[in-house]
Amino acid sequence: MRSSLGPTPFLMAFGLVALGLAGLSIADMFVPRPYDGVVLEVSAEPKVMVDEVFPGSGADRAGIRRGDEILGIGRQALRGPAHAARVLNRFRVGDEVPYLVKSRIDGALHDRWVRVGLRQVGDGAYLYACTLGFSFFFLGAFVLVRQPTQRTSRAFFVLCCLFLLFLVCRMRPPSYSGVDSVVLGLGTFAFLLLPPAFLHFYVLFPRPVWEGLGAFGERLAVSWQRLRWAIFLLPLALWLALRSVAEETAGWIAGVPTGSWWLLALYMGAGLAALATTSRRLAEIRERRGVFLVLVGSVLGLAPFLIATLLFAEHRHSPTFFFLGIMPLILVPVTFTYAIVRFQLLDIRVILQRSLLYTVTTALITGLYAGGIATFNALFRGTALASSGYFPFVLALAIVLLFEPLRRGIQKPIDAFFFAGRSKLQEAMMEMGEALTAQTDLQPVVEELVGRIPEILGLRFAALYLRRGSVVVRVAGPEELPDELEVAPALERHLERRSGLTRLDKLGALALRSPAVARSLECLSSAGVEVLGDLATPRRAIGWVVLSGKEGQIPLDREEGVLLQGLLRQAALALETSLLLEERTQQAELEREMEIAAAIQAQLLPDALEVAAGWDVAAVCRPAQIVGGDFYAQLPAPDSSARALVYGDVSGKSVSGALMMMAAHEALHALALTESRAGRLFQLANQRVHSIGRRRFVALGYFCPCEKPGKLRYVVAGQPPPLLRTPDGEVVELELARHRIPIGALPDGEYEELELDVPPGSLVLGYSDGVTDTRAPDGEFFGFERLHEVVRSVPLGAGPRELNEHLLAALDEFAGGAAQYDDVTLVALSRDAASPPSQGVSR
Amino acid sequence: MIKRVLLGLFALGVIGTVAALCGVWWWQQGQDQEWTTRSPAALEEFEKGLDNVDKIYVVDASRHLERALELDPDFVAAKLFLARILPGDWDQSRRLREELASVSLEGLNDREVYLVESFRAGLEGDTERVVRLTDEVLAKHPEDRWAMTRRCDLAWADEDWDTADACYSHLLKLHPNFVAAQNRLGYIAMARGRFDQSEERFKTYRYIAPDQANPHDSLGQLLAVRGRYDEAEASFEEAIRVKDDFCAAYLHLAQVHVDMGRPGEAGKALDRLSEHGACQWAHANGQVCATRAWIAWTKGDVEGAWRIFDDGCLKRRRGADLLAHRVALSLGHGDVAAAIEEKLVEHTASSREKKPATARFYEGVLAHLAGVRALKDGDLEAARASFAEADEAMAYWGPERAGLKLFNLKHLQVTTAALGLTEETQAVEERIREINPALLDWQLTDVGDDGVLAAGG
Repeated sequence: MRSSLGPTPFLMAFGLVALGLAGLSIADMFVPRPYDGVVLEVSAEPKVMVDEVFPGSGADRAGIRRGDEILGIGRQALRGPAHAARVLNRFRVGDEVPYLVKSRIDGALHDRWVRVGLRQVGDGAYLYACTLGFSFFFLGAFVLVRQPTQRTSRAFFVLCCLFLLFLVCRMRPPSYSGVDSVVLGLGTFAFLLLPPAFLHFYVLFPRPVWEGLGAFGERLAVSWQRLRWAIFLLPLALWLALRSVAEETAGWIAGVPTGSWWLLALYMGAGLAALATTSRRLAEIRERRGVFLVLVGSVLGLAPFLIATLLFAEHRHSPTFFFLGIMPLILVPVTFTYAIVRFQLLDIRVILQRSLLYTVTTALITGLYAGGIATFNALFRGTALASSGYFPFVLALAIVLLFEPLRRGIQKPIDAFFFAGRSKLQEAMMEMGEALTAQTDLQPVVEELVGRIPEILGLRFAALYLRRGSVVVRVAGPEELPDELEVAPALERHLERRSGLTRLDKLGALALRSPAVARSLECLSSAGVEVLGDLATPRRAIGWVVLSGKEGQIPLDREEGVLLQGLLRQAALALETSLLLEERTQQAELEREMEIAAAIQAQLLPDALEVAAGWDVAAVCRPAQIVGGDFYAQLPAPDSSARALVYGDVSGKSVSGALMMMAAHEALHALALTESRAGRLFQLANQRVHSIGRRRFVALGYFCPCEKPGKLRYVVAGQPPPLLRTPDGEVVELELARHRIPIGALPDGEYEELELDVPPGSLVLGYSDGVTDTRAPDGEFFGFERLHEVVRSVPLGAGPRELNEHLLAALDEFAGGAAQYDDVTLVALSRDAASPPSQGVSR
Repeated sequence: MIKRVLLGLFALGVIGTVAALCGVWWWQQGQDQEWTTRSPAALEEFEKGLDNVDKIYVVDASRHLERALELDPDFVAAKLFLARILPGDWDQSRRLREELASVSLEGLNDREVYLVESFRAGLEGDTERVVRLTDEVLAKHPEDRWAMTRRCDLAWADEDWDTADACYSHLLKLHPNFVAAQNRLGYIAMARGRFDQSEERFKTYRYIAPDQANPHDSLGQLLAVRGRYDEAEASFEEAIRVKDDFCAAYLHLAQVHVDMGRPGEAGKALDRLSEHGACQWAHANGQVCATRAWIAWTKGDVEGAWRIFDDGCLKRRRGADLLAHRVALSLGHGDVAAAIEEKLVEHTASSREKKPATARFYEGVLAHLAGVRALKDGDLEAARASFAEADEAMAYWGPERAGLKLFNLKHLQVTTAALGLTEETQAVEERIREINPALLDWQLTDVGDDGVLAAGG
C-alpha cells in the first residue's frame, strides 16, 4: 500500500501543514491586538514605511498616508517593524497613541495622534486572494485524493499548495507584528518554489512532454532528469543573489526582487509552451479538449497577472491593477475544475449531486423572481395597478404558475450539460437489464454480462462464476482468472450484507479472519480483479461477477455502483430463470430415462410365477421411486420339476439401487445356470456382488418348494424373516439360520438352506423391509406387529394373490399418501389344501 | 540504615543546590546592580538626578544628586555626576573633585570604576587616558551606554563631526530613545549645514521627550536660524511652559524677538528670565546684558548699546563680544575694539591645540571683526575678503555660532552689493535664501548704502 502511494502521504502532510499555516495566518488577523490600520512596505525594513492605510482606521483619521515613514510610536523611536509591534502592543484598543511620522509629501516630521483599533482582516483584494488560494488548495487536494498514485496529481497538489501559501501569506497586508514577518517569509518561500513547481507540473501534464517525440523526447527526458534540481533551485539562488545586491526597495515588487518575478514569468511561459506542445499530440478528443481548456484558462489567468505585476508594478495599489492582475487568476482553478467535471481530466470522474444543482437552480430562479418583483414594483409604483388589492395576488399567481416551468426549462439544459455521461450510462444499463430479462437461455445472459459490462463502464474485463455446491466455477471471462473458487461462508454473508457488490480492497479485515477468503481474494487480486459482485435471488445463490478496475485506474463511482447493483439483481433473476429452465430440461430427460429404466426393470420381473405342482405363488414389487432396488425372480431349482423363487432388496435407491438390482438379478441368473443349490448359489452371488465394491449389498430371500412334497426350502440373507400363516390363522415367523447377512456385505459368506413343512391351506409370505418401514404421515413405521396382524386378518382360504393385495391395501391405508422411501416387495406362496401333509422345519 | 543515609545525602544535595542557586542569584544581583549604594532611597534620588541630567535640568539634577549624597555620603556615582554638572568654579564642585580624586574604587562595579577613572583623567587633562579607558570598557562591554557616550562626547568636544556623527548614530541604534544623542546629532547636522536632518533629529527628540524643555529649545534654535521665527517663538514658549526656569529658552526667545524686529517683546522675555533666581548665571556671564545691547543696537541706539557694554557687560563677557567691538568702532573707541580683538587672539591661541575647531571658529570671528574694521575704514574690498574668510572659517554649530555665521554672510552680501559684484552678491543671497530667507530683508542698521560702517550713534 505504501509503495503504491509513494510520497503521497508526505505530500498530504505538507498540504495539511500549508493549510494550517494559511489558516493560522488568517486567524492571527482576528487576534484582538491594537492596530492602527497601517499596511507596511515589506521590502523597506528596517524602515517602517507605510504601504497602505485602511480607510477609516486610526492612521487614516490621523492623516497618515501611503509613502509616509513612521519614526516613532508611543514616544519611542523605532528600530523596525518588530520594535513597532512591541511598542504598539503596550497600548489598548481605543488608546490615543502619539506617532512621529515623516511625510512623503513634504518630507517633514509630524506628530500624529492615532486612535488604535482592532486589526481588520484585510480589504476585498486580500479576501479575494484568500478565496483564490483556498480554491487552489481544495482543487489540488481533491485531485490528489482521487488519484493518489499519479505523479501528475502529486505535482498538481504541490503547485496548488504553493499557490495557497503565496496568495494567503505573501498577499497578506503586513503590519508590525512578528507573525507578519514569519507569514510573509513563508509566502516569499512559496513564491520562490512556485515557478519550478509550475514548470514541473505543466511538463508532466497530462503526460510528459517528451512522450511521443522519439529520440529527441528521450534526450529531453534525460535532460529534465539531470537539470531538475538546478531548475528547482535557480529561483532561490537568484533571489538570494538579488537580495544581496538590491538596495532597499529599489527593484522590488511586493517584497520580491523584480528579477525573481521575471524568472517566474519565464518558467510559466516554458510550462505553458510545454502544455501547448503536449495538447497537440493527444489522440483522444475528450482529453484534448480538456487540456486545451486548461491551457486557455492558464494563459488568460496568468498572463494578466504577470503583465500587471511586471509592467505596471507602480499601479499595484489601484483597483484597476487588482482587477487586471489578480482577478483573472481564478480562471486557472475554474478551468481545471471544469475540465475535470466535463472531460474527466487527470482520469477523474466527478458525479455532481443533482440535488445540489437543483438547489442552486432554484435559488437562481428565486433570485430572478425576486428581481422581477422588485422591478415590477418599481415600474408600477404609484400607479392604480400597484395600489389594487389584486396586484399582489396576480403577481403571486404568476409566480406560482411560471416557477416550475421556468425551473424545468433551465434545469433541462443544465442536466444535459452536466449529466450527459450519467444519462448515457443509465440508458445503457437499462437496455442491458431489459436484454438480460428477455433472455431465457443461459449462454446469451452470460455473454451479455461479461461482454457488455466492461464496455459500458470502461472496465478492462468482467467474468462470471456460477455456483456449484460450495465452490463457484468460472463459466466466462479471461483465462487468467482461476477456474474455480471456494465460497467461504464469511464471504457469502458479507456479500449478502453489502447488497452484492464490494471492492476487494474492502475485504482485508475479512481475509484476516478467514483463510478461505484470503485465498480467494489473493487469486482474484493477482488477476487484476477489483470488484466482486454477488449474484443471488431470494431463492438461491447463483454465483459471482468479478470486475476489473477501469482503464486509467479510475475507481467506480457511487452512482455506477448503484446502477451496477441494480443490473446484477436483474442478471441474477435472468440467470436463475435460465438455470431453472436448463435444470428442468435435464430433469425431464432424466425422468424419461428413468421411466425407460423402470420399464426395463419391470420387464425383468417374471410375468407369471410357477414354482411347483400344488403350490400357488404370487409376487409383487412396488418401487418407491420410478426405479427401485427390489426385485423378484424365478431361478432353476435343484429339482427339475420345480422352480425357485428369489426376492431381493438392494441397498440404495433410485438409479444406483436399480443398477445394483440389475447387477444382482443378472448375477443370480447367471450363477443359477450352473449352481442350483441355494446355499452355494448365495455364496457365489455374495462373492460376485462384493466384487462390485462400493459397499453395496443385496438382501435376498429364497423359496423353493422342491424335492419333497409339502416341503419348502428357503434361505434368508438380510431379508426380514418370512411369515407363515397356518390354516388355523396363526402367524409365525420362520426360523432363520445363524448366518443371514446380505450378500455382498462381506467377502465370504455361508448361507444355510432351511426346510419348512407347509401344511395345506397355509400361506408363506416373504417381504422386503419396505413393508415394515412404511411410514404413516406422522412418521410412524408400519412395523412387525401390524404386519402380523394384517397377515392374520387375511380371510381363511385366501390365496397368495389375495394376501398380497390385502397387505398392499393395508400399507396404502397406513401410509395415507405419504411419500415412501423404500420399495415394497411381497412374495407369497400357498400350498393347496389337497396336498399331502409335511413335518416341521429341517436343515 | 543505608536508606536513611541515602535520604540524608539526598536532602543535603537539595539544600546545597538551593543554596548554590541562591548564592548565584545574589551574586548576579550584585553584578547587575548598576550603581553602588547601600541606600535604596539614595539610588532612587540618584536615578531621578540622572533623568534630569538627560533632560539638561541642571538645577533639578543637582538637587536630586545632593539629596542622594545626603542619604548615602559614600555614593560615588552621585558625587561624580554632581561634580560633572556643577560649574567648575563653585566650591562644592571643587570639593567634590578633590574627593573623587582620592576616593577608593574598591567595591565599585566596572562602570563606576571607569567613570571615576575617566573623570580623574579628564581633570588632569589626560584625554589619551580617557580614550584608553573608554576603549577598554567598550572592548569588554561593547554596548555600554556610558562608555559609548563618553567616546561620542570626546569626538563632540573635539568638534570632530564625522566621528561624533557615526558614534552617536551607532549609540542610537543600540538605544534609540537616548535623547542626548538625538540632541547632539541635531546639532552636528546643524553644524554641517544639514538643517533638514537637524530638524528631524530635534523633532524626534521632542517626540520622545515632549515633557522636557530642552528639545523644544533645541528645535527653536534651529527654527530661528532658518528664519522660521514664529515656529521658533512657539517652540521656546513651549520649552518655558514645560519648565519655566529653563533659562536658555528665555535668552533664545529674546533673540528671536530681536530677529523679528520686536525689541519690546525681547526685553519682556529677558524680564521674565530675571524673575527666576535659578537663571542668575545668565546675568553673571553677561548673556542677558549682551542681549539687551543687541536690542538697543537693532533699534539703532548704538550709544545705548555701548553704555550697556561699558556698564560692566563687556567685563562679564570676559572682554570679548562681537557687538561690543562693533559699537566701540562706531563710537570711536578703537582701543576697546583692539582689546577685544586681542582677547580673541588669545582665545584662538589657547584653543588651537586642544580644540582646533573652536580655534578655527575664533579665527572666523577675528576675520569678521577685521571686516567690520575695514567697513569702518571704507575699504570695502578688504572687508569683502575678510567676511569671505570668516565665512570659510565659521560653522553653523549651535545657535550663537550659526547666527554669527549668518550675520557674517549678511555682511558679505552687503559688501559685495556695495562693490557692485552682482553675481557674487546673487550667489550669497541664494545661500542666505536657502537657509534663512528672512535675513535678506534684514537691515544692518549701522551700515550705510555705500557699505561703510556709520560712525557715531
